[in-house]
Amino acid sequence: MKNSQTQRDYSLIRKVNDGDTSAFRQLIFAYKDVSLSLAISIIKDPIVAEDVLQDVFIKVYHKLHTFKFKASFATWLYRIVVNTCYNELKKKKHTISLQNTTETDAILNYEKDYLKDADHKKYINLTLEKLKPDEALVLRLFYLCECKIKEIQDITGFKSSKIKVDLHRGRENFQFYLKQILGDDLNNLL
Amino acid sequence: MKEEKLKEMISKSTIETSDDFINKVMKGIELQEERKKQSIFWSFPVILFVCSALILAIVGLLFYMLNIQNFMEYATFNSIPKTPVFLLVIGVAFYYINHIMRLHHNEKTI
Repeated sequence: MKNSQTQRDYSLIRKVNDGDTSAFRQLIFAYKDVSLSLAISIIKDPIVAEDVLQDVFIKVYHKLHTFKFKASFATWLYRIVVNTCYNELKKKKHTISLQNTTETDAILNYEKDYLKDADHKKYINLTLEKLKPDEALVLRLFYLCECKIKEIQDITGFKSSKIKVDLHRGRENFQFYLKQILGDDLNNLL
Repeated sequence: MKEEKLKEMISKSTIETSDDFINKVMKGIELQEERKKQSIFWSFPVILFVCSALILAIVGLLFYMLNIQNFMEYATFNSIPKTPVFLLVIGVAFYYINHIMRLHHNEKTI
């Protein structure tokens, strides 16, 4: 499955390098949603994450001629997404730290109301938003993108021991926050 | 929670982009390519070459108009102190190289 996807990506990349922009549209279509999920794991704000992702795809278009057909395109793309998002996070960190508690409480109340009619997917995404960026990122790379530890290492630059710790803590915290958000309704979701 | 259940749950966590996301990206690419074409036209080497050619032409024209046969015989040039002029030119050149490098770096980070 992964191999056929890699071959399809390679053929699309060659077309893009020959000047076929519609092939790049196909590449974006294939990876935009997973890339956004990874970006949100780090940045947390969906609007900022989408803006950052737009810049990432523009950067990817201009750098595509440098892509060496050795690794998979997905790994290459996710590495750019992760690096760009961490750089953005560094820029935004100061602004985030200035948010006051009143604002955070307001968001939590809004979330509770919002959750009444939300489906499972929204519960899961809200839970992932509460995790630390590294934990949410590693969880999504491992379970959503089905990356192996080695691939996560290539994408994030983290050591394998850190990835394992983040995976372990991420699983525990995910369950903790999911229980906190859903309370008794957790059993219905399971 | 079982590992399989966790995998099933997180595999549902894909977040969809807005409907016009691809169009926005493609528009961004077009805009950058247009800007790139303009920046190639007004790039530093092009401006340097054009300015050098203009200065040469103006100096040549000036000396032709003054009807001076030999450039070195033009006495006032010998009286100009060389060291301060050299330092001044080097200082200005370093300042502008630094300015251009900073602009280039800012452009890259944007």
